[in-house]
Amino acid sequence: MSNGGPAKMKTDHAKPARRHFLKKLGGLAAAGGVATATHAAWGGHTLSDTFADFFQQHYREMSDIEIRETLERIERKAKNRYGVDIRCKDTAAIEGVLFGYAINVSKCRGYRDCVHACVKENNLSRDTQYIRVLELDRDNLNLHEGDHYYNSDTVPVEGKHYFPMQCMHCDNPPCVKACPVEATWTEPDGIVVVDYDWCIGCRYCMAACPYQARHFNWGYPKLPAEEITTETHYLGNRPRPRGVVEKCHFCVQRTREGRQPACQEACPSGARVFGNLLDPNSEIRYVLENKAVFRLKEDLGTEPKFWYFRDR
Amino acid sequence: MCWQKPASLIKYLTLAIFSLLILPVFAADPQSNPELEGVASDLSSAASDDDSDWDWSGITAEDTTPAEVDSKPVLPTPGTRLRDTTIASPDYSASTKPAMAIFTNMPTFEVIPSRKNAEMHPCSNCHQWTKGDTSPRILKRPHDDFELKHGLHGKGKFWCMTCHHLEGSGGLVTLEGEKIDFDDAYLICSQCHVNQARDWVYGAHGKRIGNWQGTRQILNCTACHYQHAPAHKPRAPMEGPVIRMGLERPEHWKPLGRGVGDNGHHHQEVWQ
Repeated sequence: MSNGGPAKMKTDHAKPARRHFLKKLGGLAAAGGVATATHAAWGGHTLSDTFADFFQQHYREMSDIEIRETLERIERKAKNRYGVDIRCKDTAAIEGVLFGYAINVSKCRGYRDCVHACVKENNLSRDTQYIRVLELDRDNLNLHEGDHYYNSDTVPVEGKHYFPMQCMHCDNPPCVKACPVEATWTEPDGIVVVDYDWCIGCRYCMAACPYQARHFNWGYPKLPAEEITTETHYLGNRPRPRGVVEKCHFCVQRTREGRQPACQEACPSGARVFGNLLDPNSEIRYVLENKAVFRLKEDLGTEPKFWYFRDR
Repeated sequence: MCWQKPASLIKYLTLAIFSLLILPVFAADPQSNPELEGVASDLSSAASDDDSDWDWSGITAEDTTPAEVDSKPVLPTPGTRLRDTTIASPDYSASTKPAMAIFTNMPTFEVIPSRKNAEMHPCSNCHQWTKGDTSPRILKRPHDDFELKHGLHGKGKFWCMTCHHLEGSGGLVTLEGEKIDFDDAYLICSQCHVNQARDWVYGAHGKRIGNWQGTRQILNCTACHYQHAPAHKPRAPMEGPVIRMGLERPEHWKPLGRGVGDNGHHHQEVWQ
């Protein structure tokens, strides 16, 4: 974990006093009827929430109290915006776990079930997809010749093969190095995450990523309220603000609780293997040790934790 | 089923006489034994009109009360091909079974059992009353109604009895003659498909359910592969990505059929 560092530095220099001051300020404003009067103007937020959003610290520098208040605020904002009761957590990384992913390219049949499971699970704007499935001619691995928009009546098409791509969760991630405000970093379990509230939307990381894995929210997510996944994570699938970058986060809200990522769960052909790289008995380790695996653009030295392999 | 032995001959004759006496009784009055209603009407119709298709009249699922369903042999609904009823879909509610050893020192994991219902064992619906002809031959009705596209199957190498036995309620049998349950079908498959079995055992093949850590529960071979024609059928893909403004649309691209924005507008065209 070259760029890792501790997940959350529970620093003492965070200032709860300021938070209380803001709270009082908000309380005063509410008492004056300002918050209720300006309900629409503040986008459905109370004045105190808006102030607290403005002064919110970086995720890794918030104290426990500040994080709890932030999570509550996120839940309130989702309620205001979508009318849905979500639950936002900040589950920490499991000790001794480093996530890795492998895809059996000869098993992928291009159904795109993973794509839509991901969209649904991660509250993606309905014009964004983290997973891209390329359709390529058989024995062709020139990805730039791949077709994202294949739309045949049935898949797999004879003479084609399918190649899913998503965030590679590099061990040496160029996107993290590109970020001018350190809004993206590698967690101790190897997941490259984004603090959506700290991101300034400069999109340098998108330019730096050689895998086109990052996506930008040009507007508020186009998110049907009835399809919102309510179990969310601060670094994961909580409803995103406008003008920030997001990306695959290995379903941090699921995997840190021992569940499979949504894409693996949805894959009907069992092409996806996910697990702990540090556990010698894990399935991913068996794949890495016994299959001819390859990674994309290895010459760039990004060290992706995302492998591909074939049956033969 | 050794037809040459005199003792077996006597046994067979007794059985035949017994069957002749008993069967018309059931055919005439199916209500006398609710367990045999479906079978009896089946057999009588098959005997009376051998060239026509099965007579499905009176064997619809609707005419049975729920209480009776459990005690009756479940028959396929009219128009259902036999192969449609024999896919061993997994039973997620049943308790999982620890896997039996295929390789030495293999990791411990659990296999999700196949769904336990009579549809899965249609052989015994009839063959608990009639003796089956186990000799290899070209199958005729009603046995020709399923697809057999399993590698060497149908090419004279394999025969039903390679994997099946007809004792009791039917079941699977290994090449060495060991009788095993339908839930342990992977033992049958792994006799030939060793490489796939090894990958399945160690996690590079097959599908794990639910979690990535903790107890490993994986699907049986037959949950994904129809055992008599294991190759997967092509299927329609789900919708592809929308095309960003400024990008050229490929000719085969179709707009999304669905697409509800945050304000409820339907976006048939390109977003952004």
